[in-house]
Amino acid sequence: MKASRPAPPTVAINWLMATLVLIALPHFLHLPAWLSIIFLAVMGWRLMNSLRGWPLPEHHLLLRAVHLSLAIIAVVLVIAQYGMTIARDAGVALLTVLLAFKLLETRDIRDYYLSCFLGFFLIATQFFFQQSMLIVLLMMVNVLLLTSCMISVNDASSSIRQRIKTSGVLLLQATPMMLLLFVLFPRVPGPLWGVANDYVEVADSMPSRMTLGGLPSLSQGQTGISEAMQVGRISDLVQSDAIAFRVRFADNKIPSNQILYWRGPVLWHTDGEQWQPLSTDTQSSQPEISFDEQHRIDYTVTMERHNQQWLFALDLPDSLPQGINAAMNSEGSLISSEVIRKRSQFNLSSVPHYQFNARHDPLLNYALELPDDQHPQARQLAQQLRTHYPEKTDYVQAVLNYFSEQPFYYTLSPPLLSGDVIDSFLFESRHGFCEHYAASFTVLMRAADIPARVVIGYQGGDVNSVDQILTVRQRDAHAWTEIWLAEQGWIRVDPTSAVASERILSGIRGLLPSERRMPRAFADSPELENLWQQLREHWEAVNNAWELWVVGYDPTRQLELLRKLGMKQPDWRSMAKWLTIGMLLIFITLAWLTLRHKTQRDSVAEAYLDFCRRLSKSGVSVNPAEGPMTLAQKAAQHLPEAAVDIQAITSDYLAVRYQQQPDKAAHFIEKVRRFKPGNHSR
Amino acid sequence: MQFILSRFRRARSQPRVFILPNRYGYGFASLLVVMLLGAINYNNSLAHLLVFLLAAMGHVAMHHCYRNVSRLSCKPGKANNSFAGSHIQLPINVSNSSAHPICQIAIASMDNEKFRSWLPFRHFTRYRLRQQLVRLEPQQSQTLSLPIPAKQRGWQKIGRLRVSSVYPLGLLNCWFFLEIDDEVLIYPKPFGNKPMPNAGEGDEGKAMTQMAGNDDFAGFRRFRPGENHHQIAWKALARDDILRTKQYTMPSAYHRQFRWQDVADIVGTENKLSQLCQWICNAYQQGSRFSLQLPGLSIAAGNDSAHFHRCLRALAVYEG
Repeated sequence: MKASRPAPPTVAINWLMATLVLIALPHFLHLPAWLSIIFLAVMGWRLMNSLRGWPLPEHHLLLRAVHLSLAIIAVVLVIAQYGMTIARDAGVALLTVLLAFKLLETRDIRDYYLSCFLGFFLIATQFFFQQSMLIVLLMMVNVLLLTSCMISVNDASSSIRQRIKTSGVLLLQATPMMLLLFVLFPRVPGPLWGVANDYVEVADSMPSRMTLGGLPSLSQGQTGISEAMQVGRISDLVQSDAIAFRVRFADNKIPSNQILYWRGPVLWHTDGEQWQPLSTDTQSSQPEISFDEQHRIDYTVTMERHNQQWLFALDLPDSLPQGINAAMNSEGSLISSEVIRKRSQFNLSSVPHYQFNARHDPLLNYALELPDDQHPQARQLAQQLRTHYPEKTDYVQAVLNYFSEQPFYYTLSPPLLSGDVIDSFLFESRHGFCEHYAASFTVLMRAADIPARVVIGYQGGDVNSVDQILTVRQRDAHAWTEIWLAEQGWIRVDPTSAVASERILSGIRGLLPSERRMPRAFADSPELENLWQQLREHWEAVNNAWELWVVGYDPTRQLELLRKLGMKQPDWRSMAKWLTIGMLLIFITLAWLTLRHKTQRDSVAEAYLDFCRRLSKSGVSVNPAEGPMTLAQKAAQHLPEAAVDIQAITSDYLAVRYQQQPDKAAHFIEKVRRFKPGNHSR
Repeated sequence: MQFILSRFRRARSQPRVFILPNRYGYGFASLLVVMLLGAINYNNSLAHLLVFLLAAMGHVAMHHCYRNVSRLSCKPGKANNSFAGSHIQLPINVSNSSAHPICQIAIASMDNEKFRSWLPFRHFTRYRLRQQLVRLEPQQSQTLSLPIPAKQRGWQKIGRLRVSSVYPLGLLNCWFFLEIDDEVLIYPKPFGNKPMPNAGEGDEGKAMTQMAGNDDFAGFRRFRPGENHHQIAWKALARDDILRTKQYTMPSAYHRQFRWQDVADIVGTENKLSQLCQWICNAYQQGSRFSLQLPGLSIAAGNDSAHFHRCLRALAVYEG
């Protein structure tokens, strides 16, 4: 026989409902609209039951059928929306739907607890989408409310304020233990069983190839940024403020902006429009590099996931990165052994002055390839210039001069090109972004038999003056050219600098439209602009710390922090040891806090004892067995001068203690304080 | 040192308090494990944070739950004897000497002794909730009345009481036992529809009316504790607030006699005792004098409370 469990009070259910809606609210931003509507409608049904007594599914067979079929329809809709694989979005959608239907049929305490637990789970899923400080604040509020919901089924007698206060006390007292566990709980590097695809998806990342000109799909104007990325238009990346990586330089020595070339993939093959890297099997030999070691720069890169294998390094790294498994290929790019699916951190050192394959490069053939029968005008220009400047270095300078002297414009939104893109850019539109300059420059070099290749990566970055962290965003994406000259090796030539030197000297920030830099309202006055700048830097510094130390707290970070805290060899054993010690300390502190015996002082009783003491000092024998009235009679006989006072004090005491007049307590205490029987007896 | 020692001594004198997670607590723990695995799998640091926060809250809730129960002191009072099939009302004085309110205490007693199960914690189902204390403010005390079923005629030990609470989160169950060695005498269950025998010979129904009518009212007397409540002069009380009992003069020889042979035709000792018990109750309610004769025992006539209970006690301990 099963004892039926008690039903939770209606007020508790209403509170739980409000809390769950608050928890689900951030999810509505990315859940399909119909799902949010179903969620709210089902919650509304339950609410109407609480307010107006609408029947619930359990009350009527028909309603039960409606409830069941609605739930099935919702699940089918979720499957239709996301397919059969349970990925992140589908999982959250399913959880939200189930939670709503579970709450609707909540009948007893067990259902109630299940809804609470699902609510905690739903809070956790928010971190799949957002990891800002704000969302953690919201998490605290949600946990507070959900906990008070759990209290409300156990203590229906207390008011809402009392419940929230109790849950606040629980939350506050839980914080030290939470922080201890967060820092010291040995972190296990994931994943344990694989990660849903849409969880690691990134909106913006450096494309693996470069495309000039417009493609039909782009001209339709329907495609989003990520699809445009796939066809490799770097200029589209400028639209994104997403962070690519953060760099902290050793001793906070930040190099000048024109050195900050963050080297990514190298592109060789071209069909006239698209530039592609070499296939991996052609890269066999290790490059010969000699570095000018005087100008070594040490730094730490924290890279956001980009689902590619390459790592961005300051041109050119002289060693392999520490903290990640990677190798340098024959083009001088760093390739990680694994796809970067999570935020990764590595230490690196680079030397800006170097000689790369000065004697010979086995890949030079690829650096001279040009598609047949394309770019006739560009080839003609190259021939002309080459006859004027037989020296290779003179020729390079001449091409750069051509870019700076002819009316070329640097623009973040270049016009779409069609036909022979290089020719139409060089001789018609002349408005272009770095990719156009890099590509056409490379074509002009190859047309004059100078080996050239395109390097894509990032240039510059924003230095935060508060925490001295350099943040490189997607909008800092850049493309430049490297040419090979005998005895000098590969030399970086950035044709963009010939057109827009400010892009290289001060970064892309100054070139962005002003509304992307600050709210329009601030743009009018320089003081406001300055203030905005400072506020922004402080906020970004806090955000950097948050991202690096809280959101990015992983096994590597943990070891780093524990070393900084003075642990010599942090491993899971020492972590477990300190964790145990810390937990014990917290346990003892909490036990002391909760169990210490706070005796409430009874001031009336103390005052009466004081009165008795004063009487016995002046010679009245006070017998503990005597009641106040007997004592008063005896004392009045013994001290006739003080008889009035004694009577008044005694009657006050009786009034406070036995006649339910607690308001006389202060009066009584005051009288005892002024009572001086000794004066009378003398 | 002295402080710790005194603390220790005081702890020894108090009942031992136990605390364990209940089913929802285990559910909560498994939720945390699942969430932790998810957090590890997705390398999600903030999900770790949430798991640790919830775990820490469970830990804090444990302290609060323990405090809530351990701060309660219970002093059981003396229970009155009662009839089998009804409830023993056990008074319990609960007091809160701490600075925090005590919430949601459940007091349970064991239902049947014969319960046996090898499942852990299953024996808690033996305890049946008897009384609930919703809230006890600091420095307050209250007397609760615990209705405990009176099972069988004879001496019944109250036994073990379980004072427990799941407050605040309902994830942990904290309890202590109160051993009450007091025994309560359970009178037989009053039932049986055999008419009351009369003292005189004649018709019983007639005798009853006669008896009620023939009582000679002799006057009032101040109420003395132990006197039959049915003789209290309620109307007189309404006049002048003094409790009086109505006094009747009756021939001392005239009283009801409840004898073992009167119930000889009833099968079973318990049924016989029940019938006698029913008569005694009826007679006491009517305020008439009665005597009891059992094999080997005879109680002279009387009609006050002491006499009533003396007769019932004799029935309760009768071993035939």
